[in-house]
Amino acid sequence: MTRNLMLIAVFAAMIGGVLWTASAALSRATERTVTYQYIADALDALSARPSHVTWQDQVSDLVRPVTPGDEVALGLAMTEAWSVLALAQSTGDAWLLRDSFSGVAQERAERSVLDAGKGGQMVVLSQKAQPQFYHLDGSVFQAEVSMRVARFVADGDDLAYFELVEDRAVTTLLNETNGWRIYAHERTGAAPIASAQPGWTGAPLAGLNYYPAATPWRDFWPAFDENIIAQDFARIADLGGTAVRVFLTAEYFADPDTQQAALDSLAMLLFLAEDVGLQVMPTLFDLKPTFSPTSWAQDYAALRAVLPVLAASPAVTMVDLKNEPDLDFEANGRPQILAWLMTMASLTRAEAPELALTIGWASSDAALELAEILDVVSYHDYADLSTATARLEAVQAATDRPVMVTEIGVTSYDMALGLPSSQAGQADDLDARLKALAGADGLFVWTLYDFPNVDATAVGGSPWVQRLQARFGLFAADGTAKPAAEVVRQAFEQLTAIHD
Amino acid sequence: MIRLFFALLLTAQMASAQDFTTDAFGILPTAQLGDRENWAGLQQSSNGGETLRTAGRTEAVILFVGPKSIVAGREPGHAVALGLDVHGNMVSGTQADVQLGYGPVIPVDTLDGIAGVLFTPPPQSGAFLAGVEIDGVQSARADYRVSADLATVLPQFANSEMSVLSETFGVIETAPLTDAYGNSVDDGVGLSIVLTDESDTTTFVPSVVRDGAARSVLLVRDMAGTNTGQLALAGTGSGGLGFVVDDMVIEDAGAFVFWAEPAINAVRIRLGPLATSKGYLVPDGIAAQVDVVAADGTGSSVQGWVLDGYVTIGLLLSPDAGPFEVSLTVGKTQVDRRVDLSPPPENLTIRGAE
Repeated sequence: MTRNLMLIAVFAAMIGGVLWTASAALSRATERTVTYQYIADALDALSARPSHVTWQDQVSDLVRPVTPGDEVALGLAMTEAWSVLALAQSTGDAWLLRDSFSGVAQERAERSVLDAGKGGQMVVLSQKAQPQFYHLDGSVFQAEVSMRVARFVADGDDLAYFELVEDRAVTTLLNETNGWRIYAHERTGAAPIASAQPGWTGAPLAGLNYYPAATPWRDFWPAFDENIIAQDFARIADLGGTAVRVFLTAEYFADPDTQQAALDSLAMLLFLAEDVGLQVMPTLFDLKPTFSPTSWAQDYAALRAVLPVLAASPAVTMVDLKNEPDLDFEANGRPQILAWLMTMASLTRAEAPELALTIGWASSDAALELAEILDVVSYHDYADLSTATARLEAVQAATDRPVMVTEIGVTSYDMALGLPSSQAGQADDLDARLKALAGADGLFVWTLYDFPNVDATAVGGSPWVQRLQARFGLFAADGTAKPAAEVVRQAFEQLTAIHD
Repeated sequence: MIRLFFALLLTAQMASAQDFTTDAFGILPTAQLGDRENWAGLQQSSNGGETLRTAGRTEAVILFVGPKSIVAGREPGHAVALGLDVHGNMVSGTQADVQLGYGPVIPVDTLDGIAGVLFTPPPQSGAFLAGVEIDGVQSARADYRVSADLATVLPQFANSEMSVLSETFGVIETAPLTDAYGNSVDDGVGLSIVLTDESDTTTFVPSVVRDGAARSVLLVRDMAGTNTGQLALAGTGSGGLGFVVDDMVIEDAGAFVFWAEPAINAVRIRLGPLATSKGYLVPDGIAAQVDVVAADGTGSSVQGWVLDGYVTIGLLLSPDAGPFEVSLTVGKTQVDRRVDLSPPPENLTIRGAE
């Protein structure tokens, strides 16, 4: 008998190994078979950089008026110059500066790049310029500039210093053979950017992470269908859910060509949530492709567009600034990610002081990062079930902020014989995790639906991972409830009943 | 409950034991500031201190004068000086003495490192040199030009009438071109001459000013008769020029060759090569009138044009109706001949059209 069991175990292990190897080979093969007709298709599209300069009324005695065309050319030059400086400081490549700076400004920019090797960086996020001088022949221009600037210093994996201030400066540009270049830039003043931290109070949130079944991840907003959203939100409310966590795709909300449609859809989504009594946790900058300092000004511009819509809706319970940014530590460096988060958090405070803030860390290990600047601490818990309660309690003990677990979930993908999971197994595991984390101030299950079409750009090219990701839903893609739905319904009932 | 925090509190939380200094171009450890300590403007320390440093004494002056070509008596110029101290900081609040190449020195204070003087140049055209001095430091010279006001120039031809022999070079000259202040128009300024013949056909002759006047040479070959010329400079037109070109004379009409086209019961005729009295082929495109009367009294008249020195046409006349009386008229020259049918010319290539 024992011998038979051993043989079965060995056989099962061999089958598992073969399947694993085949899966990995298929994954590699899938990656290799990506073909492009043109080289350009394989490269990231270069989008035209917008100007991040806002022009204020020029002084009346300019000998040459600054025309709208001048504002475009000068605005692009001023935007590009500081973006290039930020890039040069992060890469150490000072030669980038020659097209944007000249004279003493070039010398100082190059010196700052050299000094940035000691860990310090400066990122200009926005500029307001008031023209002060314009040469009659259009060759010399000077403006008083008010600019929002982030400065930070990395010390190994730590962020040694960070500040976000409003600098005042006088910027002088010369119109040279290759266009406008900054010739001199003198900082004349600086002031901190005041921000409020509203805090968050309320009943524990019983929530679902949400994408429509047919259009998850990047397809959500371009294929926005208010009828489907309304049906799905009603389903969440019917399940006893009180909140929904949605994801605002970074590029779709930043691209000038799609931004207005994105904002209109967002306003409609918030209205539909309010209509059925759901609170919304919008997660910003989802699937953000880069944290390069050259992107920060554009991120701020996107923030300025999105925050008024969020602030205007009573359905928004808090803003999740970024989904799982700790997963970007390795690729971008922890200090840069933290500096970016602190920058966006401070700017959000300044633009929409009434909105509570959280960051959806990927694990409890990172949950206390930046807790002091947030209203709610949140993390995702896919780790060992047996220690889930201990992890939650440890985080709660270390902060006075409410603590929420904004992603928990179990796949029901059943390859064979209930492996690696099954619908029953999903229900059991989810039930256990919901109970283990019942002490949280909010629990959000991943996700409402199975996804027949998993976005490979979001979850990776591995067919194995894609199959697992496709079956995290409480409902099948056709709307059929899985056993886990009933488990969640009961858990939500208890979670909200505790507060009542 | 609303808790108010300020960014400074936040920065204090993030600050390490090390002191950092921020300036216009970034942030670095205070201990490693080096010559960044010499940069004018605000520097703040993470320990709360700050320094607002001003530029030192002027050590270098840069002068820009423009536009580079200023219209006499009408457009202003702008002289702009940048004063820099030894570290490259822009110097403010000092006096700049601007010399524009004429008139007295103009004193003006620098503001945010820039001193600007808007000036109206003298009405005389020419090249001027400007300079500026700040704190006893002289700039390099900057040059600018004052040019004639083209809008006040009244262009005229040197002569109101001229006569040109056919197939020779005609020379059209303007009178000296000067503006309202007597300044000559600069070399290189373009103007146009338009000649219009009796049939309203125009000939455009571009021209360029040199030494205060314009002169154009054109070969008159196909513009016989009286032409009217007009100058145009900077939108101002001149009075008319009577430009008479003699008629072209055909000295040798070459051979008149008739041959049959039996398939269509017609004849084809080639006349030429047509040579002028100057020994040249008649230019392509010149109109030619051909009138033919056959022996049986039938006739045909066709207008064609010259190509490669020949007139080649087809006539709906019976090849059996000859001989033919042919009359060729080109310009004011007429040639009459009696012609019989003959074989077509060897190596005949017909490119023209009748």
